[in-house]
Amino acid sequence: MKQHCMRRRIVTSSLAIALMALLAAIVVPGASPSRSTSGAASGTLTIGIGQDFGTLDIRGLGSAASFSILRHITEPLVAFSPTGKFIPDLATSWQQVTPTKLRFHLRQGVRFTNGDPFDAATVKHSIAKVLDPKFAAWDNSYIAGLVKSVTIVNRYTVDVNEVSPTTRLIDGLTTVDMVDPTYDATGKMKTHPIGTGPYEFVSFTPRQQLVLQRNPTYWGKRPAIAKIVVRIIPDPSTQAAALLRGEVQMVNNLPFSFIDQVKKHKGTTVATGPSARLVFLAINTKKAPLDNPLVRQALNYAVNKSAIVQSILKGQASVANGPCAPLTKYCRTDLGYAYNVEKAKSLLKEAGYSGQPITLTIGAGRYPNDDVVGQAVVSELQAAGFNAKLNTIDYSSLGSQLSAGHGTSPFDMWLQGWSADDNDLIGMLQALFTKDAVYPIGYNNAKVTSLLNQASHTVNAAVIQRDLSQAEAQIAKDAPVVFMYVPKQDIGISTSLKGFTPRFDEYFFFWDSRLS
Amino acid sequence: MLSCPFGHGQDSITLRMSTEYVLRRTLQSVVLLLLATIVVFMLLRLAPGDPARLMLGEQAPASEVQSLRHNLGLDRPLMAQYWLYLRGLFVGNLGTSIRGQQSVASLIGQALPKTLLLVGAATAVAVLLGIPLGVGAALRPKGIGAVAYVVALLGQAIPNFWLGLVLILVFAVHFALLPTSGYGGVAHLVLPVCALAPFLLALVIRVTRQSVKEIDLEDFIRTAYAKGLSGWRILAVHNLKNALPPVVTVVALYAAGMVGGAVVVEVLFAWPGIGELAVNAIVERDYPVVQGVVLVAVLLFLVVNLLVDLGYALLDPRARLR
Repeated sequence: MKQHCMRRRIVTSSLAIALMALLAAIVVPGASPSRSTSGAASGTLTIGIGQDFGTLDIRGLGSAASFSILRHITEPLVAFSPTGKFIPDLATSWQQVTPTKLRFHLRQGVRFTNGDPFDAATVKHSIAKVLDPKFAAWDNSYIAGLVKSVTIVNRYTVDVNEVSPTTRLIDGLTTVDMVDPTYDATGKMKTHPIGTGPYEFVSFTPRQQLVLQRNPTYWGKRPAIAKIVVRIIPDPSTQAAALLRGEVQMVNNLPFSFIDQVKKHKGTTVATGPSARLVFLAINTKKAPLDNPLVRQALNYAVNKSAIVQSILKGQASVANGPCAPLTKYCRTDLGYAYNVEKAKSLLKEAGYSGQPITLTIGAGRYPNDDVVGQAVVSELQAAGFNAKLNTIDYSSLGSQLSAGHGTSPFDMWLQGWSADDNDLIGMLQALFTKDAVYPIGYNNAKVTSLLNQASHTVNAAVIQRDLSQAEAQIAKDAPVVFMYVPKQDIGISTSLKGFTPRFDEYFFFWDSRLS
Repeated sequence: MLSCPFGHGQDSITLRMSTEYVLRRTLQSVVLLLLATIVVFMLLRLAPGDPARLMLGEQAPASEVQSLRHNLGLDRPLMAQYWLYLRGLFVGNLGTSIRGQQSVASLIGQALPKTLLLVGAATAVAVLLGIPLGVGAALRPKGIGAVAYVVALLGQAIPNFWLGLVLILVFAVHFALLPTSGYGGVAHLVLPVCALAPFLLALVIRVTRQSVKEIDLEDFIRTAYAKGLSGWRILAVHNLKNALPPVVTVVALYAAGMVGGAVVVEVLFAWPGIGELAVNAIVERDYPVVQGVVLVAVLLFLVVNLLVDLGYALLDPRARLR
């Protein structure tokens, strides 16, 4: 009886294993014939994003994806091209009339979709609203402290008066969308946004989908795609499956494990582009032995960045050679630390490092494979003679623990990223490497601070170039962080989506795209 | 024999006892619910993570985060926050979502029917397949029993996120038969139900098999055979009638638990139910939403539990004394 039972159990278990193997065989990547159905013929573009819209007001708090979508409805005065050049949008031209006065000439005859005109009063209202601390606009910090006042010169000319001479205001204004003052007062921007942009809002079903259609009264070039449906698909694997199935023509969140399959599959491909994001290991520079620049330089030499990029990040990043991403304006790319264990060891000896423990904290889940990157870094640090340990926590805990310290870091080192999404290197370096830094790195070099201050308060490009170049070199030398890598963007798209290129700021817009 | 003279009296005693029983059980449930609110409230706030920081993003200056915390009332003492929450509950106010600013009640109101549909369909599939398979496994262990055994084994062994992904890759991507995900018509329901049902199916098979098998050994079944009744009649009238109550209990409790527990399947299939709502809210530390979902899930479980217990009490007088 017992033996019979045993035999039956063996039979059934092997049956189970065989069944699983069969299922696995069916789904082996690449083995599947193409069945991508084109849902594109109707002129409707469907895309999948991971996060729901919290609010439909573009000025509210959302994700890069929700900002991208809502940017089809509202427009700024000046926008960035995909590579970070200024392009006129609702302002046709602008000039620095005095060192502290930026004059905008507005596009004439533009109307909001409710019929209200766009003019100087719109600009004054829109900028004031973002500056209003009570309104809590997401981009408040991009222009707060730079704008003194806004003066209406005539119906189509506006002066923005600056607190001090600077070139940075124009960068910040690319984030400020023009909103109809009358409509804004109704409070309906949150639920039914309107604007002057190439598309207008149709409907939103929370946690399911948002629909846009071409704005028939748009002032500019008529977009080729008539309708955009944004589906909310939280799981990245399901997003990839929906792309392969042909249900969506773009997903913004492609897992590494699907990149090859999406490339091989007939009808889909991967659009890859650089980002303006620097990923680094922030260091608590106030704590011994990390307060010693020699130790921090040793950390930089000890980490094999190119091996991490190749093997853990599958080549979907490039090694950082300085405190910024190469496509950010004024970024130097000659300041990297080449991997050199011997150099790291001799620096440690010179610094008199005596084996104090150093813990690297990873807030896992923010960047692809970040937990594995942490493991690799720690083992490389150990190989160079550091007494290094790994501490992996979840990403939301990392952020709150960092801010809970009120300027004092609870960690020795942690993985962090920063995107210069407004192409403003001065702002980025101030946010990371001065005493007013967003993170408790604790680095404060008088020379760097004054160079950044000078660059911030001038309109002379040559001076900015010179000062930033020196500041970057000083930061690289002092090594307040371990410069790691600049991630690439991997966007899964259908081959029927034409004219789509990844942008430096990681946003995605479709008014120049078409479907074949 | 004794019941005749005291017939009426005993009935009224029974009635009184069951009213008392119902009251006692309801009171227990209310206390449990209150405890659940405390546990959830405190656990959420003890867990690291700051909703204000998460909303503003990693590049926002600390001063902005601090002022948002203040606006959201998150800088008030914990007990004051809890008291506000509890006071709201007593007037039926579940609070407002930190992120989206909608009322938690309306968020749950939109999400709960979708979860009930999913869980209901999965339960129906599990019951309709599981009871015949379970009976077969009990009475015909060689034929249908072997099939039932394999199904039960796989159903409990395969994790549903894996099964769900395989189902998507096979039936949506490879054969292009069904949509990968989303909420919509019947076609959208098929794959998530297939991912969710197996575990409950396995449970139904096992419990039915065990229960039917036990009853099959009872004297009255032997008597029924001896009387020459047909096998089907014995199964339907004498066996199943007695064997099914435990099955109903297990199904009801498990299905009620699944309302809060279909999280993985809902996220995978982009099914906008309360599980997916809760996961998002946890990631974003949207405290009021998490509290609301947990409260509703606990409430549902307690109500079903109470109904099951009362049902038992109704059927089996011995249960009333416990």
